[in-house]
Amino acid sequence: MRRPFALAVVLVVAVLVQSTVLARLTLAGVRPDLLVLAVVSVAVATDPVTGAVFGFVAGLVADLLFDLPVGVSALVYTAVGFAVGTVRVYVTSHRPLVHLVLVGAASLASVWCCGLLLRVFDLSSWAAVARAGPLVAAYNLLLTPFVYPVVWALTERVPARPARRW
Amino acid sequence: MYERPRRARIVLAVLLAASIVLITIDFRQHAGGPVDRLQRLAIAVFGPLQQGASAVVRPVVDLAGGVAGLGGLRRDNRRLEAEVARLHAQERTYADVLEENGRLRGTLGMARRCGCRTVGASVVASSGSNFQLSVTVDAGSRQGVERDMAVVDADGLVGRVTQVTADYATVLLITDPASGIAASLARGKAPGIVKGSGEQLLSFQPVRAGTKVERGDPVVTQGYQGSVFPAGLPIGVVERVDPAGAASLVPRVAVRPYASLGALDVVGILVERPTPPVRGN
Repeated sequence: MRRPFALAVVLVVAVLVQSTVLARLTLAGVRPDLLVLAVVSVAVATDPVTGAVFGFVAGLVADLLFDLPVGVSALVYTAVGFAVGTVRVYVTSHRPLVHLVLVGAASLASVWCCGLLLRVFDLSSWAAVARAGPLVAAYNLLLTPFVYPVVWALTERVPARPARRW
Repeated sequence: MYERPRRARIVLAVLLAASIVLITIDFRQHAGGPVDRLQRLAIAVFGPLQQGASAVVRPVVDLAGGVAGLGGLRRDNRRLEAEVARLHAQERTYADVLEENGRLRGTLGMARRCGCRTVGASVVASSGSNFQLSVTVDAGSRQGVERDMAVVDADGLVGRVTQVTADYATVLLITDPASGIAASLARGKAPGIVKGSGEQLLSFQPVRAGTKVERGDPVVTQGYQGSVFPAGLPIGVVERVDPAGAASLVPRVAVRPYASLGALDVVGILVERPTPPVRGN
């Protein structure tokens, strides 16, 4: 099994869980953003380029399926994937707290940037955007222990390139 | 995987540029454009998967949703007590209410009489975004669904069809900030626009300054020639009125939708709009 296939599985599962399960489990009026969590996990477990490409594809699928202006999530998730992948290079600590801070900051930034873009297109209100950011970040932190290790194990087990070429 | 920083930066630049180009195309395209086709493809591919996943997880999710809702019971209780007090007060004006009821019934009857044929559909997925309120349903062009058709549940208007594939359709909910519907107060027929705000309540903006709005007034769709919705579909009931003041010429009116938009299950799509009345010359 090649890595792109593994990442595609992560993406499809994340989209399905987001749209059928988490979309209905709102806390304080917001739903978590499993896709950005997946982008962060992939970027941490791999490298900036993989993070950016995964972010772009995940964002594109989210835009198309969730009826958003196409390109908005793609833009933001690409930036998030690349940024997290770059920061990851300088993070040597394996302490969970460091990674939780990373997830929280990435979620907050992603929600606020998406919200800002949608506000520019007059598809959202300032109040809703400001409120959603911290709530989604907190909700995502709760989900991190379930998503992070799975993505980590999957990418660890599946090498970027097969050891032997044929 | 070791990447040279230069290559990484080029990849990033290409992806960001691609996103911006997509946003531009999406905003300039008409129905049938390249992004539109891509969207239909995505819905057609993920629709069956979402339908399957939804069938498996729905009972579990409903249960979990019920447990999560326990915290809100206390607040609900307080709200309901206030409601009881209000209803006691309203009992005194029973005759008035009875008349209103008659009018409301007339409205509902009209919706039924309008000869709208509906197609039933189940909700297979909701939008996963916090800023877009839409659902995907399992009826598409094969069942006669088209863009811009009205969608209702047992209690009232749900939204409007925005995208259709052979077997699936996406529905923009009336609570979405992008949704705006021509509406009128059932009492007095004062015209206005019902807009979504992303929250549970809708806002009704009367067209005329000095429109009298009262709490409890039902709001229905306004039909005119060429409008998306047939007239008289119940939308919601006025919950709060902030009177016109220095900030605004018209009162700000919050409307609670009749449809249970938070827990949609089965919806009806009005596939046959009533024929507009023939105007005699």
